[in-house]
Amino acid sequence: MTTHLTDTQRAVLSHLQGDLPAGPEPYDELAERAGMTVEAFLATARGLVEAGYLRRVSALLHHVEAGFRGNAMVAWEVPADRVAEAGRAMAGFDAVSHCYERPALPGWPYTLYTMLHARTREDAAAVVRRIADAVRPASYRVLYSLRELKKRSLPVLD
Amino acid sequence: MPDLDDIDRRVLDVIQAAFPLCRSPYAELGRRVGLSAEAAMARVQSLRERGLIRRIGGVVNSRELGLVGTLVGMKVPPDRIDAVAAVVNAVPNVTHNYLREDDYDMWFTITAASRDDVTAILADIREKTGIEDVLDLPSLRTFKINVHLGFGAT
Repeated sequence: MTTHLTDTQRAVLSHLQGDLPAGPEPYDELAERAGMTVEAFLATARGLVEAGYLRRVSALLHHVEAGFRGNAMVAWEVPADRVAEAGRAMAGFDAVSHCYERPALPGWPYTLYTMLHARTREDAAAVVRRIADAVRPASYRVLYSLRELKKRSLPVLD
Repeated sequence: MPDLDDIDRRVLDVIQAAFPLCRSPYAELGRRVGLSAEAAMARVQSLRERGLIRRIGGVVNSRELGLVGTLVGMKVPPDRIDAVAAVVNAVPNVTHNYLREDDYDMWFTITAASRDDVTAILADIREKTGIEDVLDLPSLRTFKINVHLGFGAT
């Protein structure tokens, strides 16, 4: 895994896995922890973005606290020959944050999965109906989020 | 909906898309939203204190890094949720775990260096929890990844 990364790249990715420290110059502190200059730290981080290893540095929100209370995973049964078209259509909905194709299993016919976030459950249900109207799945299953049991960043470089 | 003014919304829109990668990121953020560096930092701090911001940090592209993953759904009896969650959450390769309203009520992701590692981790979870109903659903294709929540800032 990740053998193509240099030690410097690995150190920078690792130090960006947590939360940015407080203060006006947070990367100065991360660079110090990583034992390099802030210029080298930032240059390496930008290089990781350009290379595609790091999507970006950004803020992740708490959905519920941010006012998004209707959060659901929806599993869609779409035949194999329509998955590509349906997946692209689902991705076009603003409320859909993630959309993946996954394999159907015995007794589990679903092939497309969307995560969606709305203000309320009613709003989420309305989005599900609009997607269903657009995509015409054979069936679907709405799994509302009840509780977050764990969320952390990737352990890639620990 | 939390009590957010227009500047809060603009700050959230900007920093969800990208938090500036430069020595004085709050000065850059402030330029984008019309605030001084100090005021921009105070806004972000306030949004943290109000519980809206989970973390500000790097978002890696696990596939580019050569990692593989899967989504797992398990049918866990309601009275065993806490015990099973303790086993699942103790695995460092488990990045997210959600309780959902369904017979398949526990849903988590495993990320590891190889498919063999994922399979071994899942076998270990099955053995330790005794849960038999387990769906192993690796992603075959990605149509969208966008963790940006829209706040309709103008």
